[in-house]
Amino acid sequence: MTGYVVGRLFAAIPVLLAVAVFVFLLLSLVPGDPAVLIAGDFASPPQVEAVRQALGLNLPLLPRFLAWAGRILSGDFGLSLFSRIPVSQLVAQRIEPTLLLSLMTITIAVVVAVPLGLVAAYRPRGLVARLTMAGAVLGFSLPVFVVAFALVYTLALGLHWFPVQGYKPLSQGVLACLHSLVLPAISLSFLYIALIARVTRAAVLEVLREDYVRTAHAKGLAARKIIVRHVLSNAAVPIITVVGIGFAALLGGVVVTETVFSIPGLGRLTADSILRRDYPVVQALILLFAFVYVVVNLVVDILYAVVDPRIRY
Amino acid sequence: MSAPLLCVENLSITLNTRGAPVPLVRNVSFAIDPGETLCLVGESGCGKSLTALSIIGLLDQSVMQVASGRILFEGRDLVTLGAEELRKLRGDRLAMVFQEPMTSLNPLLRVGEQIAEVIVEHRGVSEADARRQAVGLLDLVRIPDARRRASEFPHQLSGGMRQRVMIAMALALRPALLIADEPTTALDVTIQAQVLTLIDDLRREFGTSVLLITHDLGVVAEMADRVVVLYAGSIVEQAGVNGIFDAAAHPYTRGLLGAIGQLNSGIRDRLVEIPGSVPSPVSLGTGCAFRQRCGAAMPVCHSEPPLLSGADEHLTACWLGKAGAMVPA
Repeated sequence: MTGYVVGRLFAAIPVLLAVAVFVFLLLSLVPGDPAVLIAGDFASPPQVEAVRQALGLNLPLLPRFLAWAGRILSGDFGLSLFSRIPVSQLVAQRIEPTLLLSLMTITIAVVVAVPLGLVAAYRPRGLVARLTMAGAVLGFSLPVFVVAFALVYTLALGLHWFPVQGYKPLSQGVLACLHSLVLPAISLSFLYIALIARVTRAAVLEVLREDYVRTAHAKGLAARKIIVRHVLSNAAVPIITVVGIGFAALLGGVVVTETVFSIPGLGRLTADSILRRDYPVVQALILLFAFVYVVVNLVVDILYAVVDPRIRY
Repeated sequence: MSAPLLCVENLSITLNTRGAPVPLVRNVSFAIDPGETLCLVGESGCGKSLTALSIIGLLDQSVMQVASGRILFEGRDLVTLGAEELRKLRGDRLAMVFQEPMTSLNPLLRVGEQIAEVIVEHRGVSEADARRQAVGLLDLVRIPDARRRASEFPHQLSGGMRQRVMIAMALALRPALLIADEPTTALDVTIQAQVLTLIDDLRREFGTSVLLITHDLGVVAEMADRVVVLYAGSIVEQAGVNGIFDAAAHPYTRGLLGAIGQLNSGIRDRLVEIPGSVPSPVSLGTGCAFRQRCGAAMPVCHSEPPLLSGADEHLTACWLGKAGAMVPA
């Protein structure tokens, strides 16, 4: 098990390195002189030259990359071109809302979707199965902002159960914070409920055909025990995979939701920074998202091994 | 002789279709006495496994069902018994071992846990106590180093060992009836004999009745007290093991016996096969299902053959035995 985890860890290094090289080259690839870009539209040639010197842009590529990578490793991502705040600080204050929103979304999705998928597999011609499968198509095809506005219109404007928009940070109390995230999380969760319900149904259908499930029935086990110990655990690997990928995708891809509900998260920072050509921030965010994907994949790989002894040994 | 443990009476199983239900097993009757081994013999698709699954209540209800008949087990009719009561019998009084040891165990649970599970379910003992009993059971089915093996996962065991684990699981609560559906078909020949011997020894030790399903007449000769030969869902012949091997009356049984190689016969002797294949249950008309493949078919075979009883409860469903019907076609 330890060897397996160490192996997975080492496999993650080349991925991060490749992303780092790409992100570094991003600045050289954008049209124009990075020094001009960074110095701003109204800088004089000596000012541009000063920036070039300060950032080492006059050096060859390799030493520049090494110097840059060294700064990144020590946590220095440079200054935002737009706000002149250190990038690390800018990103750090945006992580909390996005992380909490993603966690809440994926939790809602799993809690709703896994039982639905399970029932749909057990009673393939039943009402729940039909509704789930039809609802899944709807969940895939409804844009997040449509769901979001519909929820705001009914639950926030109509019934006043939730705030229309805005985010309350954790420092203002856990409950207030979660309360401000309910609507965005529900609107985001539709897609993931659809995805996870479908995958659960397919995985459970597969497992139900297995000989060991028949064995479990032949042993006279109670239905609940068969579902938990024999069916769900064997269907877990594909479910864990979509939940993991879904979570990673959420962390980087909640732009629309964060905009609709005006939540100051990573998604909006990404969109804003790209529009402002704030390259140091974009670089830092790409690195962060790559890192998140690598970590989530690592966790998923470790969970595979926890679930399945055949991978462990 | 005491009353039979299991009494299957006129069992019919049908496949649900959009049109008329298709008969898969028709009017099958047999009985098993306590401690007896009954072999259910026939080609693939003749209804052996369906008959077994209907006894233990594991027919896939969404596609097929018991259409008529009774399955009396310890005085109760399993066909009409409630699902919950049937579940309580399964694994306790009634147990089953399947053909595929490689896939019949849950790959995610230690084999000791899987055996313990059935004990906990039906006896309500503690997990730790059940685990201890599981080690004892592995010992009983002659798995060396049982304590270590109990904490291993199925993929760490060979096919023969996994089948022993299945047997340990089935016999954990000393069931009255063990159903074994081709338990050795997937195993190496050398392991086959060991597993069969194990089943037979445990039957003798615990007085368990065994319903053994097989297409291997060698297995039948070794294990059976009595034999039921099925063809296309119906019983064609039923007799004691000697009656089948010494005085087979039905042309199909004789065909099966003729298809076994004889070691002491000449090398150039060809095996005699039965021509043709089993008719589909959909196209099954009236009369003897075997008549198209039968060398002794007669005009009268177009009507349902009578079940004739001979000496020693030897039953044959064939017009050949009927006096006055012996007119060649």
